[in-house]
Amino acid sequence: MQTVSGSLATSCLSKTRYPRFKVEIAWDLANPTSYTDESANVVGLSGRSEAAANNAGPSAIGPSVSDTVTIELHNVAGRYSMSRTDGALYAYIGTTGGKGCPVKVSVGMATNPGPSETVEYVQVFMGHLLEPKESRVGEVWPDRVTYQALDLAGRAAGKKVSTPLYSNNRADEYITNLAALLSPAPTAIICDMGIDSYPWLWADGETIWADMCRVAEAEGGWVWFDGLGNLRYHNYLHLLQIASAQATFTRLEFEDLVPETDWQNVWPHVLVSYRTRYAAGLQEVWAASEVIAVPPGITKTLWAKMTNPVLAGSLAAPIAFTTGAADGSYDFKARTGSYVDKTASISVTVGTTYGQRALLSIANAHATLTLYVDYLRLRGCPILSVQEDSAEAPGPAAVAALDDDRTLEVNNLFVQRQLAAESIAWQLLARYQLPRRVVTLQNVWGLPYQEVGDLVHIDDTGTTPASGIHGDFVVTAFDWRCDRNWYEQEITAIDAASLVPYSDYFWVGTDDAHCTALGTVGRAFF
Amino acid sequence: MADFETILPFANVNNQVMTARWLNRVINNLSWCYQAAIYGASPFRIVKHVANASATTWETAWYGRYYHQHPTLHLVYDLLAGKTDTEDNAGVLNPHYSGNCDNDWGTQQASFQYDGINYDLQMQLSIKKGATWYVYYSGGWHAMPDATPTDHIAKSTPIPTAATNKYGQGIDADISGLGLTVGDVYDVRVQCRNCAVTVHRIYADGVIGQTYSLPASVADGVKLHYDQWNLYPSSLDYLKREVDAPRGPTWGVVNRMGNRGDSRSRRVWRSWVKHMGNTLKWRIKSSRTDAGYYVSVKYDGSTLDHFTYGSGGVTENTWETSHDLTGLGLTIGNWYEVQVIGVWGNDEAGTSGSGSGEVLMTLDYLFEVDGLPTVSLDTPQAVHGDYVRGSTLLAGHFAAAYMQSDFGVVKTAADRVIQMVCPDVSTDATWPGALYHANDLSLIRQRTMLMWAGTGLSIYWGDGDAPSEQSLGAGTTGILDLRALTGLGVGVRYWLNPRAAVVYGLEV
Repeated sequence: MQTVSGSLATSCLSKTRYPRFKVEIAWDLANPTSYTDESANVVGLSGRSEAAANNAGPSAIGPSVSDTVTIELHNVAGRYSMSRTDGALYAYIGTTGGKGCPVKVSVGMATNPGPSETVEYVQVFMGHLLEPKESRVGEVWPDRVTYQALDLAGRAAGKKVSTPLYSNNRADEYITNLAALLSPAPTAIICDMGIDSYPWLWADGETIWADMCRVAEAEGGWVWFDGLGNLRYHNYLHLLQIASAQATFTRLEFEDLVPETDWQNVWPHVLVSYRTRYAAGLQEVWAASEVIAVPPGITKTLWAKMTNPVLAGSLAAPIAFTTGAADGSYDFKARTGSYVDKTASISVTVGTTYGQRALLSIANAHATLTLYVDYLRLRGCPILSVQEDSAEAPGPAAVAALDDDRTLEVNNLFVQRQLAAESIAWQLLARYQLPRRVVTLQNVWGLPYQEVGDLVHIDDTGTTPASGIHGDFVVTAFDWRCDRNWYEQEITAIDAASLVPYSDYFWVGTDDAHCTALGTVGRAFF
Repeated sequence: MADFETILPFANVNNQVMTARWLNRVINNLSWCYQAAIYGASPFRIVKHVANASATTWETAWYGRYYHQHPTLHLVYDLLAGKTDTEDNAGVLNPHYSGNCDNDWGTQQASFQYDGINYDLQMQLSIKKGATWYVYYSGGWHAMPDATPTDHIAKSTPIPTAATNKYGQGIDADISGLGLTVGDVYDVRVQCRNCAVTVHRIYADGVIGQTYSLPASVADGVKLHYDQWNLYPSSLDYLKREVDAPRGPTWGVVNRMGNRGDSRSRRVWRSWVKHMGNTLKWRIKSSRTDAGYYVSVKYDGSTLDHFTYGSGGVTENTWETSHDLTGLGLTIGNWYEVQVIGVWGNDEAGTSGSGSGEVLMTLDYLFEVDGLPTVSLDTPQAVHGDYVRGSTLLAGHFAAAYMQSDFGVVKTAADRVIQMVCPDVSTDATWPGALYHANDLSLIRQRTMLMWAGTGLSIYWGDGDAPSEQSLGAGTTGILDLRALTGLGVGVRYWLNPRAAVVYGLEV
C-alpha cells in the first residue's frame, strides 16, 4: 500500500468523494522525461495488477507480472494517428505510433469540486506504451486510439543480459545488480533483506525480469514495480512486517462478494530440486567447434559461450602453439590453407568477460595469407555441479489424505544447497498444504493507493445475505476502472491465515528495540 | 559430510529473521572444522646436517616451502658439536658412520673450530620474500645483506668444550610483520656453520589477519544485535583458516639401508608427528623378497608392529597397513617421534638370522589419520519453530549456550592444527653431499585443492600396481581440483612423480 497523506486517505474513504485522474505521456523519446498531460483526451481508463499465478512458481502472493493499464484517447484532429501528417504528434509517432513512450497514470481526489477545485493525486502506474489500436473513422464516437501499457517490468522482461558471476549474493543484492542494467533505471530500489545467500548467481542471455523473479522465488519472495516506478522486493516474511490490516471492506465498500476455495493450489507434497555447485580447478572450459578463418590483417571477434560459468579472473590468457609443444600445453593453433603452421601470426586475446561467456579477439598479423585457426580453447576455473538432488516436504497424513498424488515440483537454478532446498520445500508446504479461501470483491469503493500484496480485512458477516467471510486477506489481484467522477476496483484476495506458520519469529536488528531477546519468545524461521 | 558453507552475515538493518538454516550452517561448519582439526597430520622427517667446510661458510641443512596464512613460524632443532654421543646426536666423528643409514649425513669433520675460549655453533632460519632472504635473529627478521652474512647470525651458541651439545633448541618467529601475502608460497631454509644441526621440525600455526571472538553473553533475556550474531560466522572463518593449514606430504625415503647385527644404525627413517589422529597408516617396501629381514614401526619408542618376510603367510615385500594408536596413552596435540627400523635379521636387534647383508627400505607414506573427537559437539540442529534460547538448555529448542560451548571445543582442537612446512625435494642436489633421496611425495587426500610446483609432474592414485594417472601439464605451478579425479576420494592416498622434480605439494 502506497503511503499517502492523511487528507488524501480521508478523501478516498469519504462517501462523497470526487475521483480524478491524470494521464501523462512523454512522446518525444529523445526527451523521455518531458511528459505531456493527455488527461483531457482520455475517454476511458482501466488497469490490472496481479500476482503471479499460484502454480507458476514459488511466488504466490505478490506480483511477479507486469501491471497493465488501458488508455482510450479521443483522437482529436488526428492527434494520435500514425498516418495523419497534420496530427499534432506526427513528428513523434509517425514512425512508431507512440510505442515505447513513457507513461504515468495518477488517480486523485478533488476538494471543492468545480472550476477552482484542487486535486491531490497518487501515481498508480508508470510504464511504457505498447502498440496503439486505432478505431475506424466513425466506428465509435468520438474517434479514438487505444493504448495498452506495461509497467517497467515489461522493459525488464524484454531485455536479455549477461552478468558477471556473483558469489554469495542475497536476493536483494542480485536484484539490485540486475536493476543496474535496466534502462530506464527504476525510480528507486526498495528491497527487503534477502533471507539467504546464494553461492553462485549469474545471467547468461536471460531476461532481467526472468532472473529477478527466479532469485526472488528461490526463497518464496516476489519482485515488482510499484506505481511510482520503484523496483521492490518482498521476502517471504514481508506480511509479518504489516502490523495490521491496511484497509477494511464491508458491504458498505463493495457491492458483491464471491467466495471460492482454491483447490487447484492445494499441494500436500513439495519436491524442490537443487544442484550443489563448486569452484573447480583450472581446466578447459570452452573449445571452438569449427575452424575459424581469419583474413590477413583482420581481427575477428566471437563470443565463447562456456558450458559452465567460470570464476571471475580465472580465464587464462590463451597460449600459442610452438613447434614441438606437447598436446595440452597450448590453447590455439593456426595454419595456412596448405597446412603450414602459422600460429605465430595469430594472437588471441580475451576481452569482455561475463560469468559464462567471454569475447575473444583473433587477430591475423600476416600480410597476405588467410589463416585458419583449427584449434582454440579457453581454460579457466569453472563452477561445476554435482548430480541433481531434491529435498522433499511431505505433508502430515491428514493433509496427504486430501490428494497425496499431487506434488508441487520446484526446479529453480538458484536453489543450490540442501538446506536452502529443504527450507523452501517446507515453506511452500506450509503455504499450500491446505485449501485456501479466495474471495472476489466486486464493485469496490476503489482505493488508488492499494497494491497487490496488501493485507486487508474483509467482514461479510453483518448483513443479509452474508457469506460469513470474516478475517484478514491478502490482495492477489485487482482490476480498476476510472472515469471522470468514478473509481472502482474488483479485488481478488486470499485468506491470510497460516500463510506463515507462526507470527512470533526471532528478529535480528541493530539495537535492542529491533532484536528479539534470547529466551521463550522468538522462533527460528525455516 | 557437507562442505563448509559461506554464511550470510546479518546486515546493519532491522527486520532480519533468524532462520534455522542460518543456525544449522553455523553448526555444520563448526562440525566441519572439528573434523578437519582432528583428522590427522603428516610427519616431519628429521634431518641432520654436519657442516663440513670452513667455520665461516654457511651450509643449507633444510630447504622447503611455506604457504602463508599464519602469524608464527616455529623451528625445533639441536646444535651439535660433541664428538661422542648417541648416534642421533653426535656432531662429529660419529663412530658408526658407514654409508647410508638414516643418521649419516655428509662428510664429517674431525672437529669444529675453537677460538681458544669457545666453540661457536651457528645456525640461522631464513625466509625469502621476492629476491631477498630475511634471516631471523634478536627476535626479528632482517634482510640478509649477502650470501654469507657474518653480522646476521640467527643463532650463535658458544660452548666451552667439544663435548657440549645444545639440545631442544627452538625459535618461535613472528612473521606477521614481514608483509607476506596470504596464500602465496615462500621459500624457507635452515643453515648452519661450524656445527651440526638436527632439524626436528619446522611448522607454522595461528591465523593471520583474523580474530576469534564470540558474544560475551548468551543468557536468556540477552538481546544480541546483528553484529554480535555475526561473531559466530566470523569466528568460524577464523577456525576454518586454522584448520585450513595446508596438508603436506610424507617425505619418505628410497632404498635406504638397514643393517644387521653390527654397531651400525638400523633406523631407515625418523620423524616427528603432532598427534591428532587415532590411526597410523603406512606403506613400506623392501628390496628383498626372500626370508631374513625385519621391519618395524616405532611410535614414541614403542614398537607398533613389525613385518617379517615369510612369517604369518606374508609373501609380499610391500607392507601396507595401519595401526590403532588409541591404546598408547598418547596426548592429543603432543609431538611424538616415529621411526622405521630395518634389519637384516629376524628381530629388531638383528642378532638372529643367517649371514650378513643389507636390505634396502623404501618408505612410501606414513600418516596419522581418522582422528576421533575427544569431546562431543552437543548443539542440536535447529528446526523451524524452535524457540531461540540463550542459556536455557531444553531439548527441542535451540540454545545459543550449546553453540557457545561447542565453539570452545572446536577452538581447542583447531588451535592444535599446524602447517608442516613442506620440503623441496627438487633441491636435492643443492643439499650437502646429495645424500637426500626424495621419495615420491605421498599424500592422503583431505582437502579439495592441491597446490603444486615442479616440472613435468603427474599425479597418481589408486592401485599401487596399476594406478590412475593425470599429467599436471606443462606449467611449473598450478592448482589441481582433486574432486575432479574419479576415485580420489577423501582418505585416498596419492603421490606425485617424478620425485626429484617436485618442488612442493600442498593440499589447501
